[in-house]
Amino acid sequence: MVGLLGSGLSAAAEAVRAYGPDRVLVADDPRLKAFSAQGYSAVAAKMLSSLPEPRAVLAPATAMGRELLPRLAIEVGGTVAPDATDVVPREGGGLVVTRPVFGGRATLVVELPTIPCVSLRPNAFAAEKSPGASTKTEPFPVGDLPATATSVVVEKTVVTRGDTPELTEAPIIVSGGRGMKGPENFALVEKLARVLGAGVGASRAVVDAGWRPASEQVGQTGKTVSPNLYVACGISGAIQHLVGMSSSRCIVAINKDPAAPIFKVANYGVVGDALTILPALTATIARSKGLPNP
Amino acid sequence: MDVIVCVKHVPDAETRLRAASSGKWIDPDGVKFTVNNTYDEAAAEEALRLKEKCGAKSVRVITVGPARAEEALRYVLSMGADEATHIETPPDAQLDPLTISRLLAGVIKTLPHDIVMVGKQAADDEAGVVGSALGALLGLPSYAFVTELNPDATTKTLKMRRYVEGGEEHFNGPFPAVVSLLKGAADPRTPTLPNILKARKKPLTKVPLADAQAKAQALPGAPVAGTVRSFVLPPPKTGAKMVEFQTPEEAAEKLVKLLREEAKVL
Amino acid sequence: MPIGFELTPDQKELQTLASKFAREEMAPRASECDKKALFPEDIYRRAFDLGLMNLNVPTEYGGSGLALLDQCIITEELASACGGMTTSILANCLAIQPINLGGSPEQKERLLKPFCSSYHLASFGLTEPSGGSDAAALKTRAERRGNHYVLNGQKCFITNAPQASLFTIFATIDPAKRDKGICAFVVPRDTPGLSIGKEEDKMGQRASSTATVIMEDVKVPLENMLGKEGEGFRIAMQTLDSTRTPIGALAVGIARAALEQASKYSLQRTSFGKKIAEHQSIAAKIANMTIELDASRLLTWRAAWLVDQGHRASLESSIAKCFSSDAAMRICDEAIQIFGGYGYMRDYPVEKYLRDAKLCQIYEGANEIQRQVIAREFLKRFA
Repeated sequence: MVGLLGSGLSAAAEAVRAYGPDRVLVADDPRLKAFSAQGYSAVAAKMLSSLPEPRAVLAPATAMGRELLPRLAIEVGGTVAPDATDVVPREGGGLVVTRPVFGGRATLVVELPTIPCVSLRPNAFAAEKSPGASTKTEPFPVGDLPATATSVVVEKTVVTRGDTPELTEAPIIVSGGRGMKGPENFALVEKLARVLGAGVGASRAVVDAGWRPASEQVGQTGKTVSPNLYVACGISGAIQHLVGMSSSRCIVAINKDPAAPIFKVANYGVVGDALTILPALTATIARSKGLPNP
Repeated sequence: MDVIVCVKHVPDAETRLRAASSGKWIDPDGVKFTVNNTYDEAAAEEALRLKEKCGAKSVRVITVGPARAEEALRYVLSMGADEATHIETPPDAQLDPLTISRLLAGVIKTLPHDIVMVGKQAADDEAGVVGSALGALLGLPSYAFVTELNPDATTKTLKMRRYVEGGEEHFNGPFPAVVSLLKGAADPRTPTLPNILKARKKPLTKVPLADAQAKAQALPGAPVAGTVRSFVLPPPKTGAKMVEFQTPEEAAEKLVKLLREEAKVL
Repeated sequence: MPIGFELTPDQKELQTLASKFAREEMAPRASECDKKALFPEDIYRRAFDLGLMNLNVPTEYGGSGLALLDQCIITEELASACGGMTTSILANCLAIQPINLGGSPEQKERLLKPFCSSYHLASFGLTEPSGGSDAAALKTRAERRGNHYVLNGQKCFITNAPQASLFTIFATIDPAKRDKGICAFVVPRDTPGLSIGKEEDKMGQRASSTATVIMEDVKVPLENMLGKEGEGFRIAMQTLDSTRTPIGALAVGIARAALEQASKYSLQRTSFGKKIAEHQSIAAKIANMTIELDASRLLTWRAAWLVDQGHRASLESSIAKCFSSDAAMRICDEAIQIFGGYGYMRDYPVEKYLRDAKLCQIYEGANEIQRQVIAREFLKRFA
């Protein structure tokens, strides 16, 4: 069962139908235009109570999904875990959830008794369309909402583009070194970072050479980072760079020199010229995410 | 106006992690703990700015944790908070975020509070549960991923900004409320040495775990919680898996597939 | 109080403050300031704003009024980021200590309070070109003329002199009287006749500034003399007694940084198919460095603790300063050795530690003097 909450949901309902769920409940109400945890959880709890035997609640681990679920868990007497990368049924009901902790430096496996409310890390689960799905959408009456929900008013929404996250907080970092050949080629690094929603990092050599600002320097005299994914482009892997990034959960190294020390700490290596690999990688990721190729 | 800020004493971001022999969490031995992780420190800063902006009566800092967690409280007192409350747990207690929320809510309920501030998530378990759970338990609205807030005391309205995927919303909501902060408007202040010395005289109340548990009983919802089955640190790296390819496009396709399906980082 | 080796929560709090400042504000600039011999005044201002500067001045005069052990804990943290900056930050404690020790309540109120209420630097002027260790033989003259003294002479290797707004100067009314003729004066920078010589180009601690102070007919009013005529030598010696231990802590900080860098490197770098830390010769080096660092820190803490308990602790503070600074040289030397060729390169931080540590053996009583003190104090027990 898919529950959709919000205002003006017909397109979203159509999109969801294509994946072939058994039911789609649509709580489409102008009072839900502005998100509030208190309002949305009241409606979601009502949806759950309309079901004979709810087993689990799943939501995307977006800002709203992560905010909604703890409140819903309390309202329905359930349990909660955020940002799951794996979910399996638990014996005796509920779910066993795997999720990253410590900035992706470790994983926690948690048993959640029923009703588990779990947000799922974007991209960690493949969504497959079900051609010819004939699910009908059912309107769900919203009914009364708490006053603290209806008095939340969104004044405006600002869409930020090219917003690169703070390096030390970035879940993904694309970093460039001497192998980028010149400051002008960092556009390739930036483009890959944009499609990944990543921060841009740099090796000491290129910062010293004045190609990149010092704020981007990763390593002993720069920043220590531990993102989920670190893409090192044309970085040979001097020790002083490695100590700043080797705790990253997954490291990809792209370098022409197969003997470069960066390959020792990397999880995946591509022996090739970053200048030719990067545009292909950017295009592939943009395509898979449905984004324009920058 | 009374402001409460909840913080957690967590391992320093640069600490080397080792699994405890229980296999369920880190081994705290030799770990440096701190409160100055990005989110809680920002929440404390914002709580203090609320006090400065609107003449709040007091800022109280509260934590749930073992004896060592007092350091976190003292740090925030040194930043400028007025009072502290420590719900003290046994050193090896491993509490579900919902359990922590219930302990906090039980005690907060007995204290004056107009705005309860929390950081977006703790730097260790990264659950990000406490903010909206506290809202539900205290019967208050909650707002998360907030990046800016300005209270209007006469209309009891918070003017806020919050992160949403791909952008930012400017929105208003009523208070009393719980606000979960993504990042603050200003860099957190560093306690100065004179303020550290002053903070030593500020009141710090200890609440035994049993008292907090008793207070939590009257809260809505059921005291159910998740339990940790295992805590896994990735094995040390043994060299990269090399991507074989003929064309850059092939390299990209193969790499993306590995990152998505094997490493699960995309 | 029983002996305890665990820091109290209060001490840990000070340590956290200092370590955060060191890591976030000092460390990122250390290499640049060293290479270019820059005096990072913004960092020193920030240290003042955080209350990390006038640690030894009582709170009623605007300082932090910390115990010596607290000062040592802070000093170690700062020095682990940059020895030179730490020297400049500590220089105020040294310069002001004569006022703490020899000043009347009126002088403290008049001199210390305005000095500590906003950012100012002060310099301690004892050493002269003709000699530092034999302090009783100083040549700077003080001549009484009516209601003031006239100072003539030179002080050399004076930390922070180019930027200082206040100097404590030791001068003699009669060289023949040796230590009995020495007086201590407080001289503001803008006093006519006081000038600063060329800034020295130093081997290490290059973020700190050092210059000669030249006095030509410098008129100092009577009310700026600390204590009585002839008490200057005692004031100088007591000052050095109390600031010697923090120099031990400074050496500990530098050595700690060197050991940390070398340890990390030994776990990253591989040779002959294993981490170099797994080679016995490297492991032994790390072990020896760890032993020496630990001993240095304990000696420093002990000396500070004794002073805080009200003991004079000449012997113990000399032991702490002498051992810690000698050990720091050995530790920094081994750190370079562990880094091999990289250690010799300026791109890596370890060679700087060695250059910075060297000064700890020389200033505030050269280690030869410390050994004389140690022998003299110890032999007293048998005399």
